[in-house]
Amino acid sequence: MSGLQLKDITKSFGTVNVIKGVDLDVKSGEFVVFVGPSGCGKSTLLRMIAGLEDITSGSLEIGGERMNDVDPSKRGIAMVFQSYALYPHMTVRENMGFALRFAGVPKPEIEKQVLDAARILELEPLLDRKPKALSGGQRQRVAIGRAIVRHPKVFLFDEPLSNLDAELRVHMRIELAKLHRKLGATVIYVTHDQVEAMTLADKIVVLRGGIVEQVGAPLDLYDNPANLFVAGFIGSPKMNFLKGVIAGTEAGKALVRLPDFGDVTVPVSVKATGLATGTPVTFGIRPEHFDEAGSASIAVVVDILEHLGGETLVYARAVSGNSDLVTISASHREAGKSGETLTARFSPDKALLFDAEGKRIY
Amino acid sequence: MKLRSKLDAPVHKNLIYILPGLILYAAFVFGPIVSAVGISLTDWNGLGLPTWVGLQNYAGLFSDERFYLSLKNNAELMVFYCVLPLGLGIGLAAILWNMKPREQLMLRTMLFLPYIMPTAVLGIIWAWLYNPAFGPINQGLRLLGLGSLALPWLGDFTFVLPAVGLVATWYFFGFCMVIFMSGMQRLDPNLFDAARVDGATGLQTFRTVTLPLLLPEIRVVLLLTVIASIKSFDLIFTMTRGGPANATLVPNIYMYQLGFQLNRFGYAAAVAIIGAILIFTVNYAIHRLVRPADEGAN
Repeated sequence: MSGLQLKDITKSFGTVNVIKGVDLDVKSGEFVVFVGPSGCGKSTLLRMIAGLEDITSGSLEIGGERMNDVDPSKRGIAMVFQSYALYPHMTVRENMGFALRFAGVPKPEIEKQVLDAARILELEPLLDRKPKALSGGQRQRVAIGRAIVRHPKVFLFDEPLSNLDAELRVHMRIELAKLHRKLGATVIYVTHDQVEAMTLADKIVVLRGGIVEQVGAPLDLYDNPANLFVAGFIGSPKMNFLKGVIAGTEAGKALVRLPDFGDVTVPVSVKATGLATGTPVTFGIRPEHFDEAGSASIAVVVDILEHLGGETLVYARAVSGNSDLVTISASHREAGKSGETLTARFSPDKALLFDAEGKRIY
Repeated sequence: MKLRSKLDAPVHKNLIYILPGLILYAAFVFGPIVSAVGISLTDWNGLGLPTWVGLQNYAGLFSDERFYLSLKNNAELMVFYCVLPLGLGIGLAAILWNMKPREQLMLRTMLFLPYIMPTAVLGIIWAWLYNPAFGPINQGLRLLGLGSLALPWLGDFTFVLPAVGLVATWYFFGFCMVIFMSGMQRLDPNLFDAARVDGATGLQTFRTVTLPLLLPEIRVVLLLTVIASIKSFDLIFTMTRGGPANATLVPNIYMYQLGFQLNRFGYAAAVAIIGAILIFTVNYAIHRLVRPADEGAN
């Protein structure tokens, strides 16, 4: 196994810049997830690593070797595609042994490698079937098996679970995590699903518009998002963003006035000094950080309730009716009724501040 | 019970709606087929009353050397009608597939053009191109100093069949190419990415992935070109009329000669029926032998 380095990687299609200078260091054995909305360039970046797209500028190293112009099959990578890309006319056995055939591996050795991989993925009874006769989850496992037999330095996954139903997705997510632990392989995994990113990754790379917004461990990104985009993207339901204005500062705290909520003032811990009174800011608080023991509060009118069993999501607006919907996660079922006025309490320590450009105010 | 629509009425009441179609089909398709079978069992000169001869015409065919010759010529023509267009079509489709859209569109249109022309017209044009005295092909050969190769193409026993066959190849290959290109569109592009990552070269990918997955298209192309080759008439009629000395005689030309020149309609009908049986048999064989490669689950 080995790591991977991207140095100022860019990609242009004609005059359109899709990847605008990505630097990234992936350590050996690390599970890295590229996450971002559609069109953010995450799949393109993965295809560039695979060698299926040319790199316009910058350098790509796998295991310390420059790979920019190396053929995909010689990069020491294996890729699992969103559509699985299993060869429909070949059996599972032939699909899994396909790459080894072209690598000049002798037949008995191919058979052994295929059987080893099939054992790991519990595919042995299916080896003589064709993809048409497999379920979605089985096809997915074959696609992974096809990658495993090549003993790659780096596994590349392009949204591998997005074609599965919700239940199977959760199951395969756990299987993938187990497999990663068993193989100890370096994995780069692309998804638009932040839950997959949070649950699988050692390191998440959040991409938007071809640039890296933030890189970090899942909980790091959750606790300390660098900007509004990451704050909104990581976490489900997403963070509430309320309009705020700096009303003053005192001893490591910024006093934030929330004009939509009756000008209530909340003291938020910040290290930054010199925040001018009257500066507009965005006040961020996660739905799950509303807490009855909190020292701060806002008054809201309940709009809609969603009972999920374990928690209840309350969608509410400011009493003035001017604010966007505020999402509150409550642990009890009697969180309120539609149309009722509530006092939503929270701890100001949990709140985050962002400046007018969306950057975090630390 | 209340009927939802008039069409829910019993079949015999609805028969009236399909009757016009049925009558046309019976008059112009089914009727002629049945009468052809009937005529093939008679001796008829087209004017007097046909004489019932049973299977005598068919028995005659089995000992008719000219008929065997026409079948042999037809089998040779299949190379030009089926094999060459299929090979050329699939090769060109693979080449064009990797081109930029604009160039692809231009070449695809150009290569498909022969197919939009009537084959009878093509036959006349090519007969002129092949003309030994003033035809551009021989003129070109003479210009290049290859005058010894400037043969009377359509009068040469050895070369007449390939000369006619090549026109059929030229007519069909663009059509085959278009069918194969539409087949390639159907394939998941990730398959080719996967093959690249798996280390297959372009040629290996073509052989091990593209070709087996194009079997449904190969089958369609084979069916259509085989039917066309067994039905071939207009091209040969306009170029050689089966000559010289029966070198391009095919069953349909033979049928024409028997029926419309020698007035042996019964015998000609037997040739036609054998041709139809041949088409059915070959098509059945293709259906059985060429199957989509992803079939057979276990």
